[in-house]
Amino acid sequence: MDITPFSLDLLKLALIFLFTSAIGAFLWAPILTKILYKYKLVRGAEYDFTLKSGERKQKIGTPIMGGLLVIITVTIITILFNWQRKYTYVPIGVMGISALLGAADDILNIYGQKRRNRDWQHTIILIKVHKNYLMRFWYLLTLPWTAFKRVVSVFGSHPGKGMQVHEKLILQFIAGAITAWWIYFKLGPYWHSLRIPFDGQVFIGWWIIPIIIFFVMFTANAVNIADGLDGLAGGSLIATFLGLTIISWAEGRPAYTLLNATVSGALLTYTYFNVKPARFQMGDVGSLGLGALFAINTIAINHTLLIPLFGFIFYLEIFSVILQVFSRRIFGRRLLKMAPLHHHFEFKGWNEEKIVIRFWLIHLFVVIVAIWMSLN
Amino acid sequence: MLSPRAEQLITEYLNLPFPGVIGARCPYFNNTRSKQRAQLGVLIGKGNPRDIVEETQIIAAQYRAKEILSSTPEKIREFLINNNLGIECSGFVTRVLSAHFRETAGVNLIEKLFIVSPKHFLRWLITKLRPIENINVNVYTNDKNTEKIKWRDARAGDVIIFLGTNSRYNRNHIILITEKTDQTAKYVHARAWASEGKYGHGVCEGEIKNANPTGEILEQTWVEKNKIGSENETYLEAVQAKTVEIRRIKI
Repeated sequence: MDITPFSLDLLKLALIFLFTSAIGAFLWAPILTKILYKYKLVRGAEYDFTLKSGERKQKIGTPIMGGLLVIITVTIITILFNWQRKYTYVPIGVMGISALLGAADDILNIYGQKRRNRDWQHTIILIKVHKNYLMRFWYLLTLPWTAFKRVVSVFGSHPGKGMQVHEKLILQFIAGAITAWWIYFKLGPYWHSLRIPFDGQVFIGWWIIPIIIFFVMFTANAVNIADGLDGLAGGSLIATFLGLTIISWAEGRPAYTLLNATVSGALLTYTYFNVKPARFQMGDVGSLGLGALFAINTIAINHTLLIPLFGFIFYLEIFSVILQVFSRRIFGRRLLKMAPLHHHFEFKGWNEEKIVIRFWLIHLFVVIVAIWMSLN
Repeated sequence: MLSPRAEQLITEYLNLPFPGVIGARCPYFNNTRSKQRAQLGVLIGKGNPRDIVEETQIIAAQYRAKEILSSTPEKIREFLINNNLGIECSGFVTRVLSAHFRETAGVNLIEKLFIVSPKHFLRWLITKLRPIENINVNVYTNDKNTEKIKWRDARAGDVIIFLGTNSRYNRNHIILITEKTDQTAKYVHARAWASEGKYGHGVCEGEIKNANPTGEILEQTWVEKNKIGSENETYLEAVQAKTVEIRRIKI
């Protein structure tokens, strides 16, 4: 259902969704905090070396999985008041899948056993010397899978517990594939084109599928990486989803206007509790879920190419990690003192509040640029 | 004499530039045991002094150990050794000679040294991307890079190479001559003596006194840390080596 662009009624309704979401989240935030403490879903220092240094030490014991505040509030409000099979079904579903993946990671990081990957050379040796020939055959058969695990582990972090990089990538790929299927087959031929800012549409046919999968996976991870300082990801996501609300409203897409407004409202409450010193942290459940939702909502209003601008700070953070790993592995030199970028500034002596507020402001500015580009 | 920049670099290895701390000598670290691959140069024993200091600061920040940076030189050295930071012999010589030739001949030694044949494309590419990490003692024994000279002709900037040393004849070592007169030759190297234990090793200076003017290098008196003869492990390694050569870089 598309209605007139810039409809005042739609704007009023979106604001009501935003208020409802913010107040609803505020009301049950204490319950969530109690549950997180009760089940000891709190941050430990065991596998997070950054917590061992100076000021960051105080973060030990802070509940994680606070992102559930946004995920659950948005899901309930959307199911009750904005449940449209064609428009909001898949975004909420994919957000749910990504959030489940994040939740599994968060929980395993606390309650899981330490896991390790078998070394590549070890597998080769086993193929040669294992006393059971069936096992030799099995190791040989699964050699490509072992190689895949080893290669991706080079580029990921190694927390010891929790989900491994290859597992995350596969589940994120599934989330991206569901989104691509929905957009390509269900939303119609308009979505077989990419909108180029200032230059109209370019028909790309089925090529849209890998592009969508890439953006969903990449954006979810980007938000995940940016969620490293109190308030950083939450505050930046407010600007992002408010920007998407404005664009959806301006283009007359009520389902997405209301969905984005709902997310913005819940994020306002989340960030209220997340600013330093945080009452709780987003966790992978929130960052992966909201990152995927952000990508889908932008793709669904056909502004795919503007995702890097609407998610500027997240993309900046993930590229800082990619370039750091690239420089480290290829040239043997550091590009930044530490990655992601916010840790680099921490190392340079900036305090957390200064980094967060400056990143918010830069992000807000670029989101405003993205809104302007979308309207042209 | 080596160039001022090369001398400065040696001084920095002997006294790592940690702000407010004097006397933290760079320890020895060789990647052979830890076998790090595609790692930061500084973490595989090939870093320059400033890289080593910066990496120490980063690791100290990560592991709640910032107070180490303003403690004693001994504590800093312990921290470096426990975190696999240091320099190995060929990395040290390459860094110093690179500074020397850049200043005296305007040549980038690291790029100039022949490392591997371009026929092996992947290896060639890796050496182009990360050249210093692929320069080991064997590179200095290659006739394309160096030429053999006699002890009496040696001068500052030449290197002494031990091939197949220690009791198992499986180790190579390289020493840099920093000064040579008729009476004596001064040298510097990165090494680990067994007698110094876990925390005593590192970049060290020594001297070869020309006790026998007509004799070869092993017939002279080697002095390091006031130790001579079999107590001087550098000399012991030289004696145990299958081959000891003095070589000059071809520039």
